[in-house]
Amino acid sequence: MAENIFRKITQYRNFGLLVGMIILIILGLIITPAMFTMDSIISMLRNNSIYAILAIGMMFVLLTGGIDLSVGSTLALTGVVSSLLMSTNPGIPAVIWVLVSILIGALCGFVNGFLIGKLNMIPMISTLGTMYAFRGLAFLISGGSWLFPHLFTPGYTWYSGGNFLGIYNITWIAIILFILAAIFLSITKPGRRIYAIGTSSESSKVSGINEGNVKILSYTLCGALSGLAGMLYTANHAISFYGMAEGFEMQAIAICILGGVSIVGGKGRIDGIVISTVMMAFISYFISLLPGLSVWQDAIQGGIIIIAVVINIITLKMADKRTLKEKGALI
Amino acid sequence: MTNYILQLKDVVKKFGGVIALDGAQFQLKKGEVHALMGENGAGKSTFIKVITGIHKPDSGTILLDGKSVSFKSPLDSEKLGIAAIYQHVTAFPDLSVVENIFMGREITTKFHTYDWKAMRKRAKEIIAPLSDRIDVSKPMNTLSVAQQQLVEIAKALSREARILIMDEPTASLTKHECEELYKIVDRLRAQGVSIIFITHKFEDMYRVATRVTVLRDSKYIGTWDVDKISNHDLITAMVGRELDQMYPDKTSTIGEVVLEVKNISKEGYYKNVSFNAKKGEILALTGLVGAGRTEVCQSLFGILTPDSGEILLDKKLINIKSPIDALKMGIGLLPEDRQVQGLINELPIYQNVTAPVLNRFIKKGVLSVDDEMNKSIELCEKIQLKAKNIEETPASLSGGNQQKVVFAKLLNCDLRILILDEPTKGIDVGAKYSIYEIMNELASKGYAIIMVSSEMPEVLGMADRIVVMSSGRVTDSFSTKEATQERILEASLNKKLFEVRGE
Repeated sequence: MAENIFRKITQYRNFGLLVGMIILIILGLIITPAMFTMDSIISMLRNNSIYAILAIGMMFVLLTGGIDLSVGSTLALTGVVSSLLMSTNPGIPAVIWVLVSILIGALCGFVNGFLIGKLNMIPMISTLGTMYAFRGLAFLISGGSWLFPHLFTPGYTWYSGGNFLGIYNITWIAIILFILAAIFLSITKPGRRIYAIGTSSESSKVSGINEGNVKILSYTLCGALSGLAGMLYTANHAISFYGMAEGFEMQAIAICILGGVSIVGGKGRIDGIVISTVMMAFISYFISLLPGLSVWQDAIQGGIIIIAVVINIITLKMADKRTLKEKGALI
Repeated sequence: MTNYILQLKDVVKKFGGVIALDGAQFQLKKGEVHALMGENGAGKSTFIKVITGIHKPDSGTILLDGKSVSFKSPLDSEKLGIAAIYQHVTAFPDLSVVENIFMGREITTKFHTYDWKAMRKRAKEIIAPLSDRIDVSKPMNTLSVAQQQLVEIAKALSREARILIMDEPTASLTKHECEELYKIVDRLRAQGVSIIFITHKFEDMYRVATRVTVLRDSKYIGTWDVDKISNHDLITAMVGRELDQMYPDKTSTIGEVVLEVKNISKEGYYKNVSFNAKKGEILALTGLVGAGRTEVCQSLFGILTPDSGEILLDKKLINIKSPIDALKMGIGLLPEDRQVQGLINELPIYQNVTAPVLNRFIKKGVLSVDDEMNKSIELCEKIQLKAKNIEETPASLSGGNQQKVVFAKLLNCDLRILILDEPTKGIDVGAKYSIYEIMNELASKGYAIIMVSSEMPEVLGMADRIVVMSSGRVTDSFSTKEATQERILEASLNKKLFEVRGE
C-alpha cells in the first residue's frame, strides 16, 4: 500500500519539478534562515501573482501550438486605460475598472486570435506586430505621462493590497484563476479542444473541430487575463505608465516551459504551472537575499530554464525509445 | 429500389494533368465485405478519398442508397454514415481513448462540461465487443498499433457508420492480431455494416471478403466473386500490363562488387538484410511500401545506423555515421521527396547544383560565382536540363527537370555509388524516359546504382538484378532475366514471413 502510493508519487509527471522546488526551499532555509519569515513569503507571492495570471493565459495559447508576444503590451495598455479612467472618475466603484480592463484585454486577444485563426498568420509574427501596436496605443492614450500613487483610490488598490486570511487579494485572484483554468482545461468542451488542436491539427479536422474558432477563443482568453493583470499591476504598484511590464511575456513563457507546457502544443497541465510559478518566485527571492548574487538573477533563471528543458528532451527521448520498443514487435 | 448501398459510376479524378482515377466503377452491397486490390499507385487511395469527400471527383456519379450524392468535406460523408479508417492512424496521441472516440462529438452535462462518466461508460460499451484489453482512460500513444486501430473502429461505430472503409488495416499487424481483426470484421458484417477492405494480402481477401474489385493504373479492371477467381488470374489482373518500349537499351558492362551489405539489422525496421552492388550495374530494391527499403537505404547513407551487421566498401569494413561520412566515401542518395529533401527551393538552379561542393569554388576566401556558373552549365548540359535560365529557382521547372537538377547535384560530388529512392515518382511518362537514360549513362560510366522502386515495370525494365523485401527482410533476389512480375509480387507478399511474424 505504502509502496503503491510512493510509486504513484514518483510517476507524477511534475515529480522532478516538485523535487527541484523542495530542494531549493530547503537550500534557502539553510543559507538564509532568518529571512524566511511568513511575511516575506507572502509578499513574495504577492509580487509574483501577476506572472501567474499571465502564465495561465500564455498556457492556453501555447497548448494550441501558438505563442503570444503581446501579453506585456496588452497589460500596459489595459493598465494605462483603467488607471486613467479611475483617476478621472474616482467616484465610480473600482470593480467597473476590473471589468473594463478584462474587456479591453479580451479585445486585444481577439485581434490576435482573428489574425491567427482566421487569416492564418504565423503566431510569432502577428503577436510581434500587436506587441508594438498595443504598446504604441498605450503611449498615445497616456500621452507618455505617468500616474503616481496619490492619484490611486483605495478601492482600486484594494484589489491587490487588501487581504483575506493574511494573504493578499491579488494572490487570491491568482489562486482562483488557477482553479478555474484547471476546470476549464480538464472538463469543458472548448478546453479539451484546445488540447486536441495542439496535439493533431489533422485529426481535429477529421473530427469536425473548427480549428480557427478554438484558436480565437484561446487568444481571447489570454488577452482577457493579460487585461486583468494590467489592472492588478497598476493597483499593486499604484503607478502606471505606458512602458511598464516590458518583457513580461517572456517571463510567462518561461514559467510555462519550466512547468512542462510543450512549445509545439498539446501538452501541459495547470499543476505544472502552479509549481513552476512558485519555483520561479523562490529562485528570484532566494537570489535577492544573497548579497552580490542579484546581478546574476537573469543568468541563473535562464540557466535553470535551459536545464529544465534539456531534462525534458532527454525524458521524451527515453519515452520515445520505449514506445518504439513496445511497438517494434514488428520484426 | 436498388440492393446496392453505394455505387460509383465512371468516376474520374485528375490532379493537374495526372489522372489518378480513370472511370472507376464500384458497387457495394448492403452487409458485404468487398475487397479492393491493386498495386502501389493503382489509385486505391484516391478511390477512398473520393468516397469520403476529401477529393471531389471531376466527373462521374456517386450513388448512396440509389441517390446521387456530392460531398464537400469528410463531414458530409460522415453524416450519411460513411467512415474511413486510414492506414496511418489519425488520432490524438496524447489524449485518452475516451476522448479519441468522442472528440468533436463530446457528451456534455447541462453545464456544458464534459460528462466523463457517460463518455467512459459509452466508450467501454463500444470497445468491449472489440477488445477486452483496452483501458479507455489510457492515452492513445500507450496502445499498440493494433489496439489503436480498434479504437478507430470504435470511433467509426460510435458515429453509426453504415459503410466502413478500411485502408490496409492488416499492414502492420501480427498474424494473431489479424485473426482478431477478421473476427471483428465478420461481426460487423453480421450487424449489417458494409465494409470496403483495402489490402495487398491475399489471405485477407480470402478470409473476409465475398467480392473483390481490382484497380490498375488508375483504371477499373473488374469485379469478381472471391470464390470464383483463381490466385493466378487475380495476380494477372493486378499486374497484367505489357512492357512496351518505355526503357532505353543498356550499354554498360558490369564490373566487380563495390558495396557489400552483410546481415544488417535495425530493430523495428529491418532484419538480416544482405545484398551487394556492382560497378556499372543497376540493382533494384523493391517490395511494397513499408517493406523497409527506404530504411535500408537510409542506413547506407548514414541517416540511420544499423544495430548489427557489416557494410563493406571495396571489401573493407566501413562505418557510416552520418551523410557527410557517406558522401566522403562516395555514396550519394537521391531522396524520395525531391521537393523537401532534394532541392533548396529558394535558391537558383545553379546554386542548387553547386551547394554540396561550394568549397571548390572558393579562391582566397572569396566565392567565385563565375566558376560556380560554368560548372553548373557544364553539368546541366550533360544531363540535358531544359531550363530557360539557371538563375531561376527550381520551382519554375517540371517534375522531371527538377529531378535532373538533383542528379546534377549528385554528379558534382565525386561519387561511386548512387542510391536512387523512387527516382521517377511523380514524373510524367515522357520525362521518365530521359531519367532512365541518365541512369543508364551513369551506369556505363561505372557508377554502382541502387534503385528503390515500387513500380514493377520500372524494376523489370531498368534493373540488372532485383532484390525483393517484405516486412523488413529480403525475401528473394534474382537477375532480371529470371524475373517475372508474378515472382516479384509473390516475394513482396511472402507468406512464409507471416508465420515468422505471428509468433
